[in-house]
Amino acid sequence: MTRTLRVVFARTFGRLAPSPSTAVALAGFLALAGGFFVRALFRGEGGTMPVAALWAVAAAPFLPALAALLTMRLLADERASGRLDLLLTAPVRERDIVVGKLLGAFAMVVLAIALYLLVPLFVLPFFAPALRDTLSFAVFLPAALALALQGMLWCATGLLASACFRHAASAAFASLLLMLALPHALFAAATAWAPVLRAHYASIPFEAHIIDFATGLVSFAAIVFYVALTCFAVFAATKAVAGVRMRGRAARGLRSSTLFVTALAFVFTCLVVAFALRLDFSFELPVRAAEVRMSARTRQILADAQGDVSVTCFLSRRAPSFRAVSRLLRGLEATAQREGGAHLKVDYVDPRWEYAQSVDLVRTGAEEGSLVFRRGNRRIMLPLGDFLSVSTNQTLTVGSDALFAGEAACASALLRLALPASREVVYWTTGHGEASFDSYDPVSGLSDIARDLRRDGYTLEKLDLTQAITVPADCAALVVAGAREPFSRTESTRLEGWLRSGGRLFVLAAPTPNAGVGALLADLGVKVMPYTVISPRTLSGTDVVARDFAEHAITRPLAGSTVVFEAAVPLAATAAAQAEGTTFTELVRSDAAAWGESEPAVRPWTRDASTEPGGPLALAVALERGGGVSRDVALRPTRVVVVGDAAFVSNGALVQRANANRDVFLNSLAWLAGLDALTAPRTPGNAVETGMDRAGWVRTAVGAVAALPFAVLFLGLLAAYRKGRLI
Amino acid sequence: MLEVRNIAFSWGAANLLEDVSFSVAPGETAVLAGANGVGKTTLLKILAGLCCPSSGTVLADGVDTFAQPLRFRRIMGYLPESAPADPDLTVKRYLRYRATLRGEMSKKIRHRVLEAMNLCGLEDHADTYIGTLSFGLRKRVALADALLLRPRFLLLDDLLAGLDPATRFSFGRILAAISSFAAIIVSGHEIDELASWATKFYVLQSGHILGAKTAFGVKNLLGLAPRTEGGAA
Repeated sequence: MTRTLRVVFARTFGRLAPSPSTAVALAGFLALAGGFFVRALFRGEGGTMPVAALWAVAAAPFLPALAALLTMRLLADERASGRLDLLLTAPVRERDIVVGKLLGAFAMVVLAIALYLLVPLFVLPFFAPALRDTLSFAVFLPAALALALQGMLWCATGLLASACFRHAASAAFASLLLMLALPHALFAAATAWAPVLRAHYASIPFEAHIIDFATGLVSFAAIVFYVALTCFAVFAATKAVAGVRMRGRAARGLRSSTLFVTALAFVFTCLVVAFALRLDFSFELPVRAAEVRMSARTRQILADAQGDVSVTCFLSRRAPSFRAVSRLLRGLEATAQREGGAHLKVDYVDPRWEYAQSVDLVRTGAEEGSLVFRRGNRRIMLPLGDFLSVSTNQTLTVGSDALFAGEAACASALLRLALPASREVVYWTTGHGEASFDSYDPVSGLSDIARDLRRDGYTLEKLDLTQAITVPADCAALVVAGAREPFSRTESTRLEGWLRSGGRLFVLAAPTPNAGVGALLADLGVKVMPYTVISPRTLSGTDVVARDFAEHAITRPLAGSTVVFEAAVPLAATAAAQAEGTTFTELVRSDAAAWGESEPAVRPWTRDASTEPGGPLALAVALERGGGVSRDVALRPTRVVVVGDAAFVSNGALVQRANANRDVFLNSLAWLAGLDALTAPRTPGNAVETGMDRAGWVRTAVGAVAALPFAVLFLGLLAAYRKGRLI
Repeated sequence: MLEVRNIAFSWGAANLLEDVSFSVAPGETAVLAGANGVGKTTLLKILAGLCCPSSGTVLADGVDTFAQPLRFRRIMGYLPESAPADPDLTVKRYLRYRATLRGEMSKKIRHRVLEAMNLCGLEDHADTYIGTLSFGLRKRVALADALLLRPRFLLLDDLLAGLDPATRFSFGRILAAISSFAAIIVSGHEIDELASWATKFYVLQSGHILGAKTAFGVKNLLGLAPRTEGGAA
């Protein structure tokens, strides 16, 4: 830094620091950003957006206003009062004047960010002890850097506007126009002209940059973007200041050439930014890696796994899902390192740039947009579409539920790599009107759920109990998918014998009395009741939307989800379910307004309270027999899951409805097969939990919105008073 | 020696200055007179490097000031008519800031500031904020700023405008003191007072510069001289 630059910087900072308007601007910024941060934290509790990201995103919209207020006078006032002429007669370059003033204003912005850091580092831990261990300066450093980068650009833009106007208010208005209105207008115009841009940029990337930095993903392109635009703004401001000398007719040519050079500089800046975006090189800051936490089950899998496991992310870095996936992989990598289990090595292959590696991956059968897990010669490919378990239209973003479906899929893949190479076999009974897993019928087929099962490492086989002497020994679970005919005595006997020796049964119960294995289920402890569940809360009445889940390995991760039943039959426990060593769990229950209708064909539906059962009704149950004993003597417990809807996971049900039916089915199979780890670990391991009560929230809000800004305002006004600038 | 050669300047369609040439040597004080709007301030701004002339050159000790602006600015002091200064600084701090900005060595700054304050009679106001000073005192501050580093060339625009007689008198003494080492060009309308310490007189008229030997000559050129009975000036 040259001496002149230092002098201008010190003068600018000294002018801004004890100014009443600066004190008001800082206090306003702190109050607004603090308020929005507390609001975001309140709304984001239980979510997965890191606190640092919430903190930075809350402040980012107010930085332009702060920068505009700080910079509006720096050159406009000097120009109006004639001090700029005096400055220009000193042996100082215009560039030094502009850069010095920019640094002065930027230092004030950095001070504002540092003061704003007090909220999560001191105010929040004071009232939210649960967060105390997770909040440190290092956690917020990348997010603060992102804010500082944006602040630098906004200051340069404000300075440019200030250099072009004589009135501070006009400069502030123009700079806000440049910072807020112009980018949005350009973005709207660009997406209108090329709608495909929306696939890459859901919004103006300013907020995405903040979230990226806050989650540890630092993009080289973002840094180049801010630095290049700042340099251009400084260049243009320098030219505007130099333009003060260009008075008179003779300077007309000089003014034109200056405009031309400025336009060229803008084009050059755009090219630099475009080139950086094209490269889009990203790297991660190590300070954030420890913050990406995995669920307890994933940690266990990573700890148990041994050896080298490589994960290749075969995905364009510009894909909307890249950030979420890379964050997930970083979390897995860091967790594996921390747990001391498998050595996880993550590679990124961008199909746009790394052609040779892409060709190798494609030759081995990998698809673009997938994760490839390798351990020795074994390889598992996870298409990223499998992460989106809720809706195919959902895009992967940081903090979305889909990310945790990704964690589940990755955990499953790692577990399968760690397990012996054999695959669990799931048998499906045939011959009683059951739906077939190889049926692609768009409504009644089960091909969709079969694909999911195969992806999770199961082998699917059909079983005709009239032909087979017994259920095969390798049967991990037997599925009876909506049988409409009753099982014969022979079949029931064979099935019962197998079940009593630790067999695992999954039943999609059809609404036909005595169909399928109804009698056998009754013996085991589950009664399929001869009613159809009617819910007054849905349009059709026979559709039942259930949100009431039991605390069970199958349904524990589904809190907040919905399960939809179509023509469901209620289930109940029989006396056998009360036997010692038997655990009967109502996995999913209807709402209280539903009831079991004995004559669904007769309209209108009205409940006869004397004969028809009222809600809440059990719609899916799990039964375990001998589980307690098995823990002591290592006997395999019998497990049965019954869902009171034959079309629960049919292609039609899965495609047309955004529900958790698929999760219930997959989790049930995993539980039955003894692969509890395959149950989707959706419970967010890195969810924000403040542990604050109402009073805590109020105190935090008061601290962030009132106490800190008031203290800053008071100190600022005191400094202004001591400098004689208050009155 | 400050040599102004064939300076011309146009503003819009009007030719404000045409073929203006004159020179001022250190030890000389040149008064630049002329009616309002004739281009005195513009000429001083051109000399200070704040305006680009349509043609012509300005040589300071033989060096083209437009070719080497930074070098010229180091040896030049300029006092604008409005005498702007940072109102949020005390007089001493402001002068220190200006001395540092103009490249004075750190160990000399204190001496320079004291010298300038003593010369301009600002000792009693050293710790007063400039924003609270009267216009006359602010003009003193601006003058102290202009002659802070003992410039070889001093450009003073409308120096005496808005000042009371006592201050004008004191400014005359200050200029007499600094004229020993600097070439001074001072513009203004107070011909009689400026004449008491000027050594040269120039009058700007219709874009041209005219020389005069005395204050009377200046007034004569400006049409301000008392008329004789015969009507001749």
